[in-house]
Amino acid sequence: MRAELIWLMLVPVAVAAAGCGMSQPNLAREDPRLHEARAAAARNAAVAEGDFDEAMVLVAEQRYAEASKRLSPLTAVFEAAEDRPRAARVTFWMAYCHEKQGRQAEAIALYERVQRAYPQTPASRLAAARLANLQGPPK
Amino acid sequence: MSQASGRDNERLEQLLRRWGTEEAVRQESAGLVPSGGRHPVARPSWLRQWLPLAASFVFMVVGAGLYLASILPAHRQENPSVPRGGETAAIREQLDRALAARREAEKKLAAIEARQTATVNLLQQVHLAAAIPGEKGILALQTASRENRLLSRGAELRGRISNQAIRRLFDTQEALLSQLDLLDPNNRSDLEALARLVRSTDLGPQIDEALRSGGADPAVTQWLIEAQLVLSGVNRAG
Repeated sequence: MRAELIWLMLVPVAVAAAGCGMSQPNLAREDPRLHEARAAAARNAAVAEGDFDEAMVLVAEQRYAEASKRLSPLTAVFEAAEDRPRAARVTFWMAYCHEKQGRQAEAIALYERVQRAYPQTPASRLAAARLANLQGPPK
Repeated sequence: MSQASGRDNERLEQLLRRWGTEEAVRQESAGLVPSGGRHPVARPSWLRQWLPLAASFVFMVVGAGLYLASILPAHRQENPSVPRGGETAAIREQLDRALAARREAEKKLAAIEARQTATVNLLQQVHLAAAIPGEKGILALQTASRENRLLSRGAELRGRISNQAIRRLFDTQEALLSQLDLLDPNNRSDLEALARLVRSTDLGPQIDEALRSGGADPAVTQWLIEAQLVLSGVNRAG
């Protein structure tokens, strides 16, 4: 009886293993266009990293309008490359640039987007802190 | 002979006594001599003698009373230390305020002592982090920055900065600290980029100059120094 139970418990493991085996050929047979798109996204992300570093120099120099312009296309690039932590950071810095230029409504919208789209990230935590500071103490 | 003279003396004495008694009665009845008792005829004379004195005494006492009654309120107004009905409450309120101020001062002192301890701890953390290159060093600096609430304290302090140069330095440091906080310590290229950024801003001499010029709020000065301490660690760790 006990031996039968053990065999029964192994059934889901066997099913899962079979599933993995079947999915492997699917990966190998990935659409070449998709593969190409992914490679292009990775290349774009590598270029975007350089742009991000340059934007950060502009932020440190308090040239917020230029930094914002440099940052705005980068979120989409990092999203396409599935680099969510970087996409979160770019959105955070865009919000920060708006805040420093006195555009509070845009800043608040972007900080909220960071919290909504990238929860549980350092950018989301920092966005929450800046949002609390912008909106003032609760009444 | 001697017996005769003795009787004469006795008789003379009796005569004198009688005469004295009669004279006394006569004078008393004429009102010339006041008797020791309350003689109805002697009273008006006694009153006439003492009444003006008594009246002047009563007049003086009443006058003094009226004078004191008139000057006492003015004296109280001039001298606030003389407690009146509501003044006790005011004094108690003042005492309460003084005690509250003392408690507040004690709290501030405790906060300053706590910050001093925290600064020493931060110094130790940064010193240790600078000795650890790479990701562990950056992680230690991130921890130091977060434990000392550099970013949240900075947000609270920014409003107190009136000097434009100090505000610029403050904003740069805040941006660099935010970037440190967002950094993935495992990503080498991010780490190197931040170290390059910190080096390119070269904030150290600017902060020294701004602080030498004086005028900054002590809490802002402390924040600038703490932030610079952490950022100098980034420079070394990267």
